[in-house]
Amino acid sequence: MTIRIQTDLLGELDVEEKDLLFFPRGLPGFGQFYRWFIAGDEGETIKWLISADCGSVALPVASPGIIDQGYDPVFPEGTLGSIGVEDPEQAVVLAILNLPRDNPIKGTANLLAPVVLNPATRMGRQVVLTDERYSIHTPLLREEEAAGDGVA
Amino acid sequence: MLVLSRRTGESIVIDVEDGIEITVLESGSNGVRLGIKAPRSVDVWRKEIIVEVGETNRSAAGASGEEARRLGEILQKKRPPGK
Repeated sequence: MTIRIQTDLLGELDVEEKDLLFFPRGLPGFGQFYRWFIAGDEGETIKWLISADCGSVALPVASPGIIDQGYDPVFPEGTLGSIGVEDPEQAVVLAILNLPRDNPIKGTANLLAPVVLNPATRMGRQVVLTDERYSIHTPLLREEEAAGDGVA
Repeated sequence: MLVLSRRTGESIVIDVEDGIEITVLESGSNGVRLGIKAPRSVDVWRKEIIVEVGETNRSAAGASGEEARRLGEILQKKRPPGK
């Protein structure tokens, strides 16, 4: 079964129902939306977590490893189990990015509250870590990295 | 809002069946330390953090596709995968 979703960002998309992700607790800030999907080309670094219930809501996401190569979150007890993850290795972890429209170079990633997906159950959850090493607003680029790439 | 007075070591129970119990462990000039017993299905968050996560999520939804693609390329250039 496919469902057709009108998105602001990528136009009209046909999404296979089996590709939908179910967030039983919703996502903070979007509590009423439980069904999401990932869109974007295979090779793209930044993909989109789009609400299947409201296609105008699209959050840019990326693998946290591209921002912090040593990213090693410790998930609070029970949080992975709530989406059926038994072995943390099988979970897919994504960071939600904040990209200011006028200055995306100043973008940040939320490494304190990563999105965790269980590919087997298609369930997901945004987990707030109790880990002081990580921040909600982690710069994507260090100052010197951003310097050369203003408006190319 | 229901207001209750508790001393150190005393607790409140929110739902006997769900077994949510909050105990005052310590209180002093730096604040109050609470111990919380709750089933795993119940999320316990510091309010200011969950509010900030929600606000950050909402602000993330304003991104433009073109800018994201450009930034993705920059990131890839700076941090080639596997390096």
